[in-house]
Amino acid sequence: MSLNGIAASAISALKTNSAALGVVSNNVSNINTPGYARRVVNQQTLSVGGQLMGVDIASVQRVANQFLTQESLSAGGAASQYDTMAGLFSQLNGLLGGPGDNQSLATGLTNLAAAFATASQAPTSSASRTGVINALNALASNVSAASSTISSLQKQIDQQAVNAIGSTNTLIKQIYDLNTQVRTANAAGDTASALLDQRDVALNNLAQVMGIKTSTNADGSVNVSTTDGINLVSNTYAQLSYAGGAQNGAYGNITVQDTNPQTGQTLGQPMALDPHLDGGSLKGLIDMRDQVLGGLNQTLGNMAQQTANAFNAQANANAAYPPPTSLTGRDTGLIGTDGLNFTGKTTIAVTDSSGKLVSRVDVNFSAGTLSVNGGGSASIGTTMASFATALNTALGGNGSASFANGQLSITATGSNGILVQDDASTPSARGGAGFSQFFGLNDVFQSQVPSITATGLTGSDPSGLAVGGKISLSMKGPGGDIVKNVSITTTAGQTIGDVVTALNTALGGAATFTLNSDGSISTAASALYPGYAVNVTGDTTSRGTTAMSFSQIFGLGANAVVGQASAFGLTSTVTNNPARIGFATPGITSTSTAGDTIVSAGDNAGAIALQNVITQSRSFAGVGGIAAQTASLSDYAATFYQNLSTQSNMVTANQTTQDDRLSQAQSRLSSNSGVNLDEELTNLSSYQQAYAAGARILSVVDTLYKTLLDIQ
Amino acid sequence: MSIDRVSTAAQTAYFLSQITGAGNALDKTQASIASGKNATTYAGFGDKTQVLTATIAANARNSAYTNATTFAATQVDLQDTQLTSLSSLAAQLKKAVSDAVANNDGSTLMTQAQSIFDQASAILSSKDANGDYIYAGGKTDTAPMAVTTLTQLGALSSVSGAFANGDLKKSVQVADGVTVSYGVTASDVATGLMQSLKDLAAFDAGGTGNFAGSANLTQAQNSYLTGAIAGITGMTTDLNAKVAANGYVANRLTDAQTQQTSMDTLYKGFVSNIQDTNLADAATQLSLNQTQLQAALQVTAGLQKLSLLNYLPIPTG
Repeated sequence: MSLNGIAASAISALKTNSAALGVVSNNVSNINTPGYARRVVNQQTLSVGGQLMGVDIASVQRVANQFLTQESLSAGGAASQYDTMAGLFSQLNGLLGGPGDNQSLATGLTNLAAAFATASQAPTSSASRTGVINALNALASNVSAASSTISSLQKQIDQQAVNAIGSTNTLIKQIYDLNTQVRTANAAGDTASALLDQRDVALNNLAQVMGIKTSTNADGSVNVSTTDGINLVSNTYAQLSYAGGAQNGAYGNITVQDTNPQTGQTLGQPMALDPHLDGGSLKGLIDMRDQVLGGLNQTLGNMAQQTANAFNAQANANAAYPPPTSLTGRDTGLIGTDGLNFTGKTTIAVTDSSGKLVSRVDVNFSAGTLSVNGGGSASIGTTMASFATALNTALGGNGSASFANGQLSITATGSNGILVQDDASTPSARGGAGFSQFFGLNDVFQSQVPSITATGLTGSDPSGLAVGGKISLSMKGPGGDIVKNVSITTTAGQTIGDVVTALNTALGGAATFTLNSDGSISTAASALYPGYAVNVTGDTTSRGTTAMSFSQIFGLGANAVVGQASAFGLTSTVTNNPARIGFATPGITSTSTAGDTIVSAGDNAGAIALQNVITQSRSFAGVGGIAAQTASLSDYAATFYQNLSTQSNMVTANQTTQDDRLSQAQSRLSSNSGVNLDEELTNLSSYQQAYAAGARILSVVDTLYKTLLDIQ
Repeated sequence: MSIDRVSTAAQTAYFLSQITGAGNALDKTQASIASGKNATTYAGFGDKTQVLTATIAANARNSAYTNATTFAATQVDLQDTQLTSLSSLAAQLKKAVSDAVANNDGSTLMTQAQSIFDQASAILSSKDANGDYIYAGGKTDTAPMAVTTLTQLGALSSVSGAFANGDLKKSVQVADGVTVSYGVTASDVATGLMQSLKDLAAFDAGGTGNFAGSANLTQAQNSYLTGAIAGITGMTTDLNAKVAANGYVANRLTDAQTQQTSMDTLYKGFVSNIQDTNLADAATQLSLNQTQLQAALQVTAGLQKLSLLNYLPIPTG
């Protein structure tokens, strides 16, 4: 080899090692940069015509492993989902308090039982009544506060989802743009472009929001889709859309739609993203909002409904002393032309202010008659209006009765009082509720929707709905996809049965409403849509002169039960007059005559019965992840908290698992791609030595040239 | 065995996470010692949440039963004392009548009878702390005695007219599903006594009566009083039986209170086992957590010193 050849080889060593030192320098500089994959220098011999002529850099390789990267993305998505859920659970757990504290539903129930126990021993004491009212209020506010806490958290989560949509769209667009630039760099031969690191960071960030799958193309670009293949980035890119907010408590879903990158115009039809989400914080948010919190709110509503029905049933069976002069019931949503549809017997009695019987009206609904003070029978007709008229006539000079705006009102004349007592062996019933309970004459609890959903209405009853009212329904799956968004408009001359049929027609067989014999409406999704729920997203109907819509009367839709817990409180009657809560039981017998004492001040049997309400077994429907069961109110409250605890701990366990998986994946990825300082320092030393050696060779060549030139 | 290369940043992050983890564990143990509770949220009690919540509720219900039973027991005790007094008044009446016969002197008999009637009426018209008549049955707002003088009593056609009380008796719930009926009404306990007094007063007001009018008993008076002693004796025995029956109720309530105290101890122990921190365990755990944190810190500090950077020569010009 000539001296020039030696010099050229030495120069190639200087160039190569200098460039390699540059790579080391970049690696060291980016030692803590997230997403940075280390570069390694691949050297090769420099040959000219087969002759070795020094050294050259074959490539600067970016050390990345597609499998490890995908595993890291996948683990990141799952960990992010459970991190999000665990964070929200932590917030929820803090808000709902702990066992035995004053905001506990179980504590509220037992404090109420304790107040009734105290009242039972001093039924005439005003302190007892104050204690009972306070305990009733505390229980009601515990229920409504828990419901409002959960609903607020749902709204907050929904807003987080809305906010996440904007940043997700930015990430998707960013990945698409980086793909374009990477393609250009790749074509120019730059296979280790810094653009790849930026794209990895963007992919990583996207995977935190939603589970993704990636595949790298030959041109260096990467295709991104949801784990089940819905396109996010390819030749086009997708954009997500979600406005947020609930309609009547039912949340909508996130949609995804492709965009033409050239025109910025949307392509095809938007489709629901929710059922395609697999991991990521967005999945965590949606699951928390709909499944966890939605479920908890439903169980809370279920409990509120049962609490209201249980206490109202007993309060209506009891009698206050002295009996109130007037009883005005709840807005039942019924109209005068509705069929009476009661069975059994009840007695409406007028008493004096000391509880002595003045007169009695015995109503035999099964026979369609009534009699005054054991006298002859008179017809009560077959409708609400005819009954009210017959009762009003029967009360004569002792009182009056009317039925208007869905409310029954019975008033005694002067300072006399009114009380209602069902027959012991054949009690009155409509839709399973006794006469007094059905009309809510002595109700304690109320909510924004009626707790009695077995209306006693039949298919042939007139709908009574004003023409042009609109009932909107949406049918949502457990994965969040909405398969139906339909509505009906009421027309003239419809019966209740016609409205139910119209709703079923609108749903097109996806789900079916059935009007049951007790006047309740049950909903069943078809076999094609298992687990799907029908929600009422709007209802502008109004029945007659009542203030009730069709869906309110029947508690229609899966979202209706949530309304039982929100605004759960005491009736204004009880709030304004605590003495209206009956601590006695009326004692009318078949032989009671005027002057007999039928309710007395010291009677505490009613108070004890109210005390026992919380431990009586009741049938709870299966909602919100808690199976149908027979349990006491007290036990159901404990089940509610166990359900919360179980779900919270399950999420925490999943969080730990997925965090460990992520750590493992990141550790393996960084073992492969991360920068090791000792390694770089060794390389630094090695390239430095090689550079120095190359320089020394140049110096030797220089000496050799001088030696040659010095030959004379 | 292959040894993977390790990324420096990942290694630092790993040790930082170890320090954070050890710090969190220490914090949790410290919080549990400070609060004395294993957890402060429902989720913190895991699968024991339901049983804990239900037991706390059961204990609270038991406390409510205890309070109500205490109230009832106090009332029954008061009645017990008063019924004993009533029984003693019946014995006094018997003695007064017997003395009058033995001494052949009825001049003070009606004065004594009036006194016995007044005392008995006062007992039967007792009120509780809430101002309710104790012996009025359900009609706690109505005085159970319809007559206020012995003369009025004597004038009645039937002794039942002397009473205005109701028939209902109070009940108290002493445990889940267990109710004890307690209390007695004026007509229950005093019908016999009032019957005897009424008969005496009616005789006194009759033609052969007027005990105060003569120093010695007439033949008719003597016959009447002699005959009345048997009735009064029977009435006294009957009243004593009623006192005993009330004592039986008092015992039932006392038994219930004992049971409630046992349940309270049982429930509290059960709740405490789940809810309260076991300080010995927690103290040991605290020590372990401290050691763990210290070890994590030391390893991290030690590793920071281990770097090739410290050994490579600094290039010199």
